[in-house]
Amino acid sequence: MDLPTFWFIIVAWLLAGFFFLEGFDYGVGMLLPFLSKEEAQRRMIISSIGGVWDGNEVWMVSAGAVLFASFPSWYATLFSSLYIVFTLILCGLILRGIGIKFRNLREDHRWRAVWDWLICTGSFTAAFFWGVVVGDLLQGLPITDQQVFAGGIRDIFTPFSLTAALAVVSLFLLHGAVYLNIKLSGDVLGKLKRLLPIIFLVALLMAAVFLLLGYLRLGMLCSPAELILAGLAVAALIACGISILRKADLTAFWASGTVILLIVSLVFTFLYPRVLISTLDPRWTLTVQNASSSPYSLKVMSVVAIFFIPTTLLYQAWTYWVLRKRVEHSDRY
Amino acid sequence: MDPLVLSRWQFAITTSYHFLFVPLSVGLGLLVAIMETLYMNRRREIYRRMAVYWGHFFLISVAMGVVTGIVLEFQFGLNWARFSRYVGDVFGPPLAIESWAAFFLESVFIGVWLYGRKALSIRMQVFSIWMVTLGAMLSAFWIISANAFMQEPAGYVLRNNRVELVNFLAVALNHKALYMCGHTILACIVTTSFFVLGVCAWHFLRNTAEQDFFRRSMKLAILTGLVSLLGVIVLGHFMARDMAQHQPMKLAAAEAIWETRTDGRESLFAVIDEPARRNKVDITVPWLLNVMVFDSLQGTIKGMKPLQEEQVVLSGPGNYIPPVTLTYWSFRLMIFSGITMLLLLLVLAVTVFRRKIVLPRWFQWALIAAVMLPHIANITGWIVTEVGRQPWAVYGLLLTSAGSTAGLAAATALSSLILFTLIYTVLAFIAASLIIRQIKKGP
Repeated sequence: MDLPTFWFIIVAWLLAGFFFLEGFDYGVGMLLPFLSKEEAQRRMIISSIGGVWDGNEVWMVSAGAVLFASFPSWYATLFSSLYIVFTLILCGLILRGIGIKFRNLREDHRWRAVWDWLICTGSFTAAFFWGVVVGDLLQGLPITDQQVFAGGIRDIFTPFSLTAALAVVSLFLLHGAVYLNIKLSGDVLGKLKRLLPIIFLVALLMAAVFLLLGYLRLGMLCSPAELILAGLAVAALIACGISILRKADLTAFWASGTVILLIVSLVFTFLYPRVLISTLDPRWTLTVQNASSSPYSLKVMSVVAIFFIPTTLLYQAWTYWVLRKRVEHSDRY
Repeated sequence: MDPLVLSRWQFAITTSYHFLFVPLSVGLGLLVAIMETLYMNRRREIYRRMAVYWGHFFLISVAMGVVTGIVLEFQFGLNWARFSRYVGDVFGPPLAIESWAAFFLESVFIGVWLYGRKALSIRMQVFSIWMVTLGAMLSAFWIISANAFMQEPAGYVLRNNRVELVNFLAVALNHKALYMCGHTILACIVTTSFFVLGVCAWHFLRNTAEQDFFRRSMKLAILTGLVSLLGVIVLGHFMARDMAQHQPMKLAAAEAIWETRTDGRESLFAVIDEPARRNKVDITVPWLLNVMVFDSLQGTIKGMKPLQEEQVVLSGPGNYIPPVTLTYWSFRLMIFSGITMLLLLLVLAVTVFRRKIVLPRWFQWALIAAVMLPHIANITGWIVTEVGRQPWAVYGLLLTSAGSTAGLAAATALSSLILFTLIYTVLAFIAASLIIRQIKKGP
């Protein structure tokens, strides 16, 4: 395997990890105001992600930095083309990040209510516009030979990218709900369990529409690899539903996580070797080869990554082990 | 409006907000780590209470630092696409390594430190907060080594219309980066020390309960503040020497020197006429400049006019002189703040460690006002570094105007500028109100 392809896989892997991990904490954020009005219960919901979401968000930061380092042209063209989309993602991230940290700092009902809604809308905004990014990566953008975006808002927000956005939101909602299902205890679980089947059905519907539209509009699912990945994703999603019904909570969580990993894999399999499709002229499409950094640069990073990535994974996994218990009513932070 | 100008404003504003909180988070992390370690070893309740109280401020500043930092990372791609393409090969690796080797450490351990109290032994808890602090400092190191490349490019070749990495160690261990990194991290500790001193002074003035608590905190802050500030000054001196050698234009602008100067006069007050390229008024003292830059009475500092002519020969026609007034006054303000802080700390060290002497009220008030001094020094210091580098984005290689995103609409750039400025301003006020509440509440 050549170095640019190796780094393409690393980028895909970081984004998959980011969607898996932040997927559930975005989901938890979106669900927060709807699950309970009681402060003690809301605090439990926040506590379920409080100790891990910082580390989850670094996956996104890392994906961004690695993209910059290994594919400067991809990073530069993608971000500058989707200027509005990323600006809104950032606003969402700022509000939810500050909200999670600040809400507990004052014993004031209104203060907390406002932050809870900001956490919710911030999480939704970030999830939705990341979905738009996924949609635009798949459908391509009007990129000129100078790697400059030559389109308008209608090239960014298309029916397909909006469908992708809703699919991402509903999958994150499901992922967050099944995560809370293994982390919470007490009364708040009852409300969650009533909502779970509805959230699941919405996620199933949106995932199906997304795949169907991808097939019809973009010719996705035409290679055996894509077909297998999509098939497995649907199977995992159905397995998630069955697990919810059978009250196999942990299995349901891993199943929804698997769906996310498989869909990200599908996206990157469809793209490869392209990284940013030009809808104006296929010759202007950015590829793994023409957008990558120099071999020396990639080699240096490979050496550093081989040491640091496993180490990071180990201690992050350790923190999940430390915080593995269900959140209880009496826990105060 | 010009999207280039808007993009520069956006970068300046987001960076300034970022650096309003980051120094506190780096320094308070260290302080809390020291307090928790003291508690672990001596098991005295006061150390635990100190860790909890100062930890509260730590959390507020970390939250602000993180959310402003993410914007900075994305902004290279959003507003500076041509810059990103041009330097990504060299500039990207330190950022990528920062995320694995530093930011993960900081963020993962802060979560487990905060929420793992019940599950962790005290030993692991102390270990976690030290990992957070280590992560924050390593993070500063990698970010600054990327920034140092923009000041003094090293370890690269020009190939394929961009800079390409040929020597990673030359980038990571760029001597400029090492000076800057030490200077910056120590400045963070100074900032925190003055914050702690200000809070302590307020409680002394109000004569609140907890005198012992704040007396101990103050002693620790004097110690960390004095040691770090001396370090900041020594490294600042090395940076000035380095600047004379590698970025003579920046030094000449910071000193408002138009014609080459050999007598080492240091300007104290100048009225600068930038279009006419001269100073209308320039009050100077002899020798001081040469002592600061060369450790000697002898030395030649090139003026901006001859440097401009040299640069035109090298890089073609254009104006290579940075905004002089801003650079000059920022430099003076930074040094003034530094000297004032040094005097305050020396007075404090002498009085507090001789025990019985009580500080006069006006001095307590001065300490409260002095909380702003390190922030002024931080921001003006960065202005000298970044504005003094203009018109270059990468010194001698890429002009700032050639680094912005092509085809970015002014309306788009303006709306994001307004959006970020608005959100940050509101959040900064909220953070400040939380900090003030916590100060008043006491431990």
